[in-house]
Amino acid sequence: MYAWTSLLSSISVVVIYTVYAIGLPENWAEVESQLASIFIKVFLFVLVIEIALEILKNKNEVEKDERDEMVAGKGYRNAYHFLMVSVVFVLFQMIMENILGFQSLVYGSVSLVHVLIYVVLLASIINRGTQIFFYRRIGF
Amino acid sequence: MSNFKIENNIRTLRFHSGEMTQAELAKRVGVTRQTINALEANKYNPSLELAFRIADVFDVGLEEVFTYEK
Repeated sequence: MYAWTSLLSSISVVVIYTVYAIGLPENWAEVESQLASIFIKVFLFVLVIEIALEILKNKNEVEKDERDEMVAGKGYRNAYHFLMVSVVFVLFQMIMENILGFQSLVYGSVSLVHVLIYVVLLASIINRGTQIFFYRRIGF
Repeated sequence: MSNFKIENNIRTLRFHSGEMTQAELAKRVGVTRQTINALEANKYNPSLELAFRIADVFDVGLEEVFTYEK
């Protein structure tokens, strides 16, 4: 359940950051209140779930064991691979831009910051997504 | 390697040990109940240490709990 709430939080952050990065649409005034409402709902949902899980947790039970560590390890491994490939790709684009004058997809320092933030957020989503996939496969 | 499968008799052994619950076994071997459930469903292969701890709880040999089959 923690992986689900974490995934939901990461996706909502990506959506909100996308709105910030792309720029506000013309009819922003209409969208703003809806978006703020969705964000607050997601935040409150995640908060309520986390509090409920803490209350319902049986204090006598083991919280984390070797199976959880294995699943977490697979999540971190996939996120790390994505992060490394993405960083190398961004660096390669920058080198192409500076040496060959090739206009890359990552253009300018502002875009670079956006891309790197996206890479980190997507890595977080991949991490949680992988954990959910393996938990579903080997059973909760 | 994928032709082989590790199976176990944990559910049967629990039944013969006074109908021990998954939660009780989990507590005694130091894992979550979900892990015992995954083990019984053959969805997860335990570490060697956990396998020995489970065998120790039932006071039997490792080969009586886990079998390695084609």
